[in-house]
Parts: sequence; C-alpha cells; structure tokens
Amino acid sequence: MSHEQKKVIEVLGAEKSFGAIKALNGVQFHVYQGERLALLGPNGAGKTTTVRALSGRVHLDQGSLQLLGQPLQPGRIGVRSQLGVVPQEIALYDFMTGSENLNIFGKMNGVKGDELRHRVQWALDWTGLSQRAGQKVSGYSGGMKRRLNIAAAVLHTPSVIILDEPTVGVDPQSRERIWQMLNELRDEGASLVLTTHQLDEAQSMCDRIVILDHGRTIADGTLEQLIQQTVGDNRQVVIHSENGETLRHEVGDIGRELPILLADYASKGIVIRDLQVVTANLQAVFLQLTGRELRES
Amino acid sequence: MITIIQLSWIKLRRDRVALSLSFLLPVIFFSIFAVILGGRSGGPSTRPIPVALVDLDQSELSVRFIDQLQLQDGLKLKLYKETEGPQELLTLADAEQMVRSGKVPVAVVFPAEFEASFSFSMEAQKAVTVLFDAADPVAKPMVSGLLQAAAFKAAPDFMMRSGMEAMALYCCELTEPQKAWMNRDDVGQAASASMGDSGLVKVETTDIRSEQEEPPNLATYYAAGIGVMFLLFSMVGAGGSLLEEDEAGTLERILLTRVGMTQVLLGKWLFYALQGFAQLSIMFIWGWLVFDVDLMTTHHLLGFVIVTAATAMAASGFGVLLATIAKTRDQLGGLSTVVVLVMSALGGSMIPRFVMPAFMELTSKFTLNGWAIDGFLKIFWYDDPAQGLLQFVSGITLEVSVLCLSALVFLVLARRLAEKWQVA
Repeated sequence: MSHEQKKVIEVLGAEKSFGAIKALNGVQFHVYQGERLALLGPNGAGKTTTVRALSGRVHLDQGSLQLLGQPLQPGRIGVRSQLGVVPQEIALYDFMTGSENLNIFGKMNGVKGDELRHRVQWALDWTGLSQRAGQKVSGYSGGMKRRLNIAAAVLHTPSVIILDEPTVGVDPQSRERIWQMLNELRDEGASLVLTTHQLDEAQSMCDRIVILDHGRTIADGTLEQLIQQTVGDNRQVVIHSENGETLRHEVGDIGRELPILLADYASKGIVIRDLQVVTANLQAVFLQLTGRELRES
Repeated sequence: MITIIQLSWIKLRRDRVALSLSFLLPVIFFSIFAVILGGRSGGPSTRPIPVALVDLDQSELSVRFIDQLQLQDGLKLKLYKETEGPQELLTLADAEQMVRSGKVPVAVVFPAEFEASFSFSMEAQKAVTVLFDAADPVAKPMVSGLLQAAAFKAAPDFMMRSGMEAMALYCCELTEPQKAWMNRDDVGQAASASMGDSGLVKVETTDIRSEQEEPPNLATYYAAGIGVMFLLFSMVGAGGSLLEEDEAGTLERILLTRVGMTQVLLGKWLFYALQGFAQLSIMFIWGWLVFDVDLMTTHHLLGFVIVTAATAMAASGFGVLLATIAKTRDQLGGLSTVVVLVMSALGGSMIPRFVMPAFMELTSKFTLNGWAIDGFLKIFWYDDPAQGLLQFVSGITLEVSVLCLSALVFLVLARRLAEKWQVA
C-alpha cells in the first residue's frame, strides 16, 4: 500500500474514559483509501469504543477523528454520511421482508426515489437474496440475516465501511460469501475497517492490521511487518508432554536447534506425546504482543 | 419444596414491579374506590353540589332560605357572578347559562313575590324553580330535598302565620293572648322541630335542555372514559417499541443513519397520536351506531375531532415518556399498569365523576383522563346548539390547551431522558 495514497480515516491520540475505566488511552491509526484494515485486540482493548467513536456514538475526551480529511463530530451528520457502519448485532426488523428492511434503512440514509429502487435491487443481487426478497426476515437463516445486515449499511454507497465482527456466528460457506461481498465493495473503491476475532480471516483478507490493547495501539502494519517487528523469522515449537504439559520454544534454525531440544527433553526423562512447529503468523504476533491468545482474552 | 419456596421468595423480593403489582396496586385501588363509594371514616361520601342561586324576591323569607341552604354541607352556593370588581348577584339568564355549560348541575331560583305568596296552600305559592341538567342524575333530587328541609328551618313562623290566617278565614279567629303566644320565637322553633322532614315549599323542576334536545347519554361518558383509559394502555405499549428497538439494536442502527433522536421521538409520537386518534374514533363511531352517542352534528363532530386529537397527542406523548423512563420492556409493563390504572380511577374513567367526593374532582385535574373526559362532556353534554361554531369551540379551549401542553411537556421530558441512548 503506497503511503502517498489518501488517508480516509485518521484517529489521533483518541482518549475516552467511562467513569474510572479508561477505554481509550491514546489510540492512533489511519486507513488508506481502498484499504482493508483489521482492528484486533482482546476484549476490553478499546475496539468497540473506537468503532463507536468513528460512528459518532461516543464523544472523545481527547484526540481527534477525521474522515476524508474532515473532522468527525458526534451528533452531527456532516461528512459521516460517507460512512457505512455494520453493527455486530443483526439489527433488522424481523417482521418486515428483506426488501422492506433495505428500503427503510436506505431512506434513513438519505437514498430516495429511483436511486433507492436501484440500490435495493443491487443489494438483493449482491447478497444473493433476490429470491427471498419478499419473505420476512424472521424466516431467514443466520447467514442470510448477516448478509442483509451488511447490505442495509451500504445502500448509500459510503466511501468508508466499518464492520464490527461481520462474520461472527456464521458457517464457513456464509463466511466465504460475506468476504466475497466485501471484496466487491473494496473493488468498487470503498475502504473497509473491520473488527474480528478470526485471526486467520484478518491475516488472509486484510491489507493491514492494527492491534489494540488496554486502550492503546500496540502494533500497526502489514502481516509481514508485524512478524518482523515481533517474532521475526523464528518458529515456535509447541511440545505436549505425556503428563499433560504444553511447552513452547522459539527456534531460529529449525534443522539445527530442534534435535538438540528433543535430546534435552529425552535426557530429562520427559516423554513427548505430540509436537508442532508453528510458522510465524498473526496468532504468534498477537501472543507475543499481548501475552494472550485472542480466544483466551 | 422449601428450596422452591425460597427461590420464589427471592425472585419476588427482587422484582420490584411484581411486588408493587401484588401488594401496592390492590391497596391503592381499594383506597380509591373506598373513598369514592364513601367508606372513609363515615365521612360524607359525595361532594358538595355546586348550586347557582338567584333571588328575584330579595325578601326576608328568601334570605332566610338562602341562609339555611348555606348551612347545608351537601351544597356549595354560588350567588354572585364570577367577575372582577364589585360583586353582582346572578340573574336568571346567568344561572341558566351556568347549568347549560356544566359549571353547575343545578340552579335554584326564588321567584318575585315568593314571601308574599308563601302559605299553607300550595296552589297559592309562587314556586321555587330548580333548573337542572339531567347529565348529573344525583344533583336534582338532592337539591330539591335539601330545599324542603330548609323550608322547615327557615320559615316555621311564616307557616304558622299563614295557618292562623287560613283559620280566621275559614273557621274562627284566635284571641289576642293566643296570637301573642303563637308569635313567640320558641313556639315557632318547637313547631319546626315537630314537623319532621316532610316538605311544604312548592318546587318546580325544569330541565335546562329544550324538549327538542336529547337527554344526556351516559354511553357518551363511558365512550370517553373507557376510550381514554385503553388509549393510554395502547400508547404506553406502543411507546415501548422504543425499548424493543433498543434491545434489538435497531435503535442504535437508526441513530447511525441521518436520523437523530429528536426525529425518532417525534416520528414515534406522531404515529402513535394518529393511531390513538383512530382508536378513539372507532370507539365513538361504535357508540354512535349502537348506543346512540350523538356524534353526527357539525358541532359535535368538530368538537370531537379537536378533543380527540388533543387527547391522542397527550396520550402518545405520555407513552413515549414512560418508555424513556423505563429501562426494560418488563419494567415499562409494570410501571404503566400502576400509573394508567391509578390515573383512570382518579380521572373518572371507571366511575363517573359526579359521584366522586369533592377532593377527587381536584385530583382528577392531575390526570389526562380527567381533562379528556371534561372536554368530551363539554362537547356532548354541555353544548348549546344555539351557539355559533367559534363560540362552541372556545368552550373547550381550556381542556384542549391543557392536553396539548401536556403533550409538549411529555415530549420535552422524553427527549431529555432519551439522552441515555445518545452519544456517550
């Protein structure tokens, strides 16, 4: 990603406290035009507060937020009309059809008349729900609801789309379909910011990764950059002993160091039940930076 | 089993709504109905009846009658016009207007030559006129009865003098010592005491409505009373959709669009007001079709539209306000049951206001039901067909203004409370 590209989102020194809890403590990152950015972090890291601040639902104590070069101010629509926000919950009206839901949310986002009709038809085709458009949402599967949930946020063709856990709770096929949809949006020029707990998803689908912890940005870069900054070229050897212990070792030269490691265990009388060599990946980076597995957090 | 009992007790103890519905609401209701129906400490069960009083005779006897009537706990006399400056006595036209407009249910008129004609002979007496509105079935018989009671207290000496004159005319005259003895005050009082309560003053009752006018229809009262009570329940339920949307996440989603909280509240309020208007309209149309509610006249239709619109706006605002006060749908259900039932009992939706004690007339002014029912009764019961439309509409200005102002206050409060859903 060229740094000469235009920044569509800039978060500078964002701070926010809720009573005694400091939710954001200097969060800082940016998003380039057409980029897919993953926002990662353990629970309580500040992801949701950051997303809510960008959505205009949280007023920062300190710092600033910019969208397309203009300041974002809570309670004012202004440039925020260029933003599409997909909430984590399925926020749809169950008693209405898919088509009716799209019409309602399209109107609320300022889309009218022929444009609305075209956009709704586009959204139905895009989500693969054209055949089910006239059915009530209550009869949709989880994956269909998720797709409609995303579509309802992009009817006004926003430049930047924020997605909070867009694939949570869906089966692998639906997940694949959702990513296909998001890639189409990116291909049309939209920038995507998404929070996720799926590290493999962030690793394979996003251009850049920002990791938050304790309300701070602790890492920001492409996967390769993050690996270099943290675990480097090392591999992780995970050994499961017969007495149930899990032991981890960082090794640089696997061919030379692994036999020595195994001999050492044998000399100590430790019987190895299983062994894994883990290539440097996002999970290793995350573990290195936060000291926790994402699913443990 | 003991564990199950323990579990149920903890659940009940921690559910304040269930607790209040189980123990507080029944006691509140019992108290309200006990007070209305007169079970409170043996005190007076009904309110003093306001009575307009016109004295065309201005005689010693008419003044004595008025003094006696003023001593009655059950009556509240109005002798003067409600004008600033020096007090002016009511005229016959004033009294008629007061009854017709519902300000008082009854007027008592002492005719000219009342004292001069007062005698044992009913035929010779100039009758006291009781103008009444059949809309209040309690007031007329009560006032007529109290008027007879006042006659014995006010005029025993007049009665005796009249009797002596009749005796002299048809039989024989008393001697001077006998006349002197009869004229003593204590004899008059003794005579009064011995007469008991049988009446001897000539009373004519006149319904203020002309023969062409329909008598007031009690179904109208209940269409208004029951209609408003259920309107409030519906509006609170509808207002609860805000909480439903909050729980479902759609409110948050709406607030992420171009739509702000003020627009959300105003949109909901307006829709529920229209729904409420339709709801009350159906109630009255049903009343018109089945119970002869007199809806289809220009005056009544216009008045109905105005009062119904104001009532629906206030009720809708009330529903939205309660929804912003409550934290969950369950809490709203409990809160609204208590508030709407108590308001309805105090405001006259359950028991007609004319049988309520006086202080409850005042408490009803703190309820939407009370103001709405007053507005509807002014249209259907206390209208004057001779009035022009403008004058007719001006008669309901107070009720409509209070309801509209309530709607505004409810909305402003709801907007402030809705900050909890706003930017953190």
